[in-house]
Amino acid sequence: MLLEILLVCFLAAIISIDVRTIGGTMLSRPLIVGPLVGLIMGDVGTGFIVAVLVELLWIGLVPIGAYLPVESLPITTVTVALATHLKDTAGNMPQMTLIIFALMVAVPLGYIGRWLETHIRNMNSNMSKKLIKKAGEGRFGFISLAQYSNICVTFLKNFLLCFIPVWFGHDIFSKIANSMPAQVKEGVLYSSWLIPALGFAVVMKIFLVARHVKIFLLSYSLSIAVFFAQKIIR
Amino acid sequence: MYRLIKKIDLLEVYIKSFLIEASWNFESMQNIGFAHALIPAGRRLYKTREERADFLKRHLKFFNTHPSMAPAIMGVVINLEERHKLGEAGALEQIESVKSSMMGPLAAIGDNVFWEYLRPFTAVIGVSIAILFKDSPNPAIAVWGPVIAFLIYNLINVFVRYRGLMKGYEQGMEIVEVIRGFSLTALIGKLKFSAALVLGITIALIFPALNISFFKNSLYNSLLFLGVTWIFLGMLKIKIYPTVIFYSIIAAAVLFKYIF
Repeated sequence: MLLEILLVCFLAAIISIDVRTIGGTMLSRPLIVGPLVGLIMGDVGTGFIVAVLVELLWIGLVPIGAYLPVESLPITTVTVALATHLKDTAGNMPQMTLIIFALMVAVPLGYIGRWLETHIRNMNSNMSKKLIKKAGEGRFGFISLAQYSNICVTFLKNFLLCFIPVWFGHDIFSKIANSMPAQVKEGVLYSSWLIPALGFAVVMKIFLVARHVKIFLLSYSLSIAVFFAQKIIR
Repeated sequence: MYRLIKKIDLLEVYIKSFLIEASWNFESMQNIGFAHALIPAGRRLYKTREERADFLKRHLKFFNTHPSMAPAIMGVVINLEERHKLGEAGALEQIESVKSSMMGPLAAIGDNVFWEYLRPFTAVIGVSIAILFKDSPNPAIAVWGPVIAFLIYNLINVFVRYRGLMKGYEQGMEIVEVIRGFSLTALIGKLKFSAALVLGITIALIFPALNISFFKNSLYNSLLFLGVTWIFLGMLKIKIYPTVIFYSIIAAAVLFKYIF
């Protein structure tokens, strides 16, 4: 268990370097992190579902100007890790219930990550001032040092942000989840298909301009028609 | 062209340009990353301490643009630095004005194309493939979702960065026209169109993957999903945050279960 958790957090921290430093390729998106973490934890299916949910829900928030979006990387990692652990300790719950329990716990981490990032960037402002003073010495090494130490800070931040909740929380979490009343468990299961709907609504808000609503409805009805035609033929 | 700077320096700048946001700060934003990326060029051009100090002072000033667009500006700046070293009058003054006049428009193009549309679009494609094929007879296809999303985004990302840097160096300020020539903004229209198509298909066929079986007739299940999505769309349009809706959905579902 410890080895798996360490491995997962290490992976997340390595990938986190992409978030700010490599300028955000898709590598740090939940869609890719989720299945990878799932693979290590031994449950790719859960990884995929978490990936889809987290990817869709916070896709609309982008780092424009000085705005910092909610960090989806710790949310994804911790959700997959907790959900797969919970599966081992409470096998009788449906997969979606496990995932949503874990997601409820992990979402605040995205906000904590953002809060930490604000502090790191304020510290960077001081570093920038110092570097400008030091520029008179004409040595390029300081700049590289600043860059690489910042990459290390990003690594450490994300490693701890994933490791602390998973390692210290997984037992408490599964105890709480297991002792939930039946109504809560069933209610959570009800919400399990509403959350993907919210995710698709987020994407539709980005893409669906009034001009394209017709195309959307056309492709919707065509797909449905094909779906039923297939059923009838069978 | 390539009078002092060598191609290998540009390639090194290209690799370092990926780290432009590593030391992002609220005061001067990407200044450290920008200076860091230009180091290979600075090392080639300037050998004395005084020259290097001036070089660093020039490039540690405020800088902020979209990371995929930054290499284009770096290319132009390297071009001007080379001319300055070769003794061309006025090149130094141009550097400052080039940086400040290019970063705004390029940031606008980059933020709009890459972050507001291309990234969500690739995510939609990836998510749709992943979710529709998850329970199909051949679940291995689902793995292609993330892979395709990664490839589409990065083929464009890496291409624009590379061409931006090289053309920026070779053609100077005309790079703004070159980037307009990529017709990235026309891409947005196509992305919106294709996204509408893909969303239609996915929302129509998603109900088996999510085990929605409220009604016997699967048409109603599909319509139910569409209706609920539309309600959430309305909530998002009046500026309720997704996180708030997320917790409200769970709370409402649990409450519903307690009452009925």
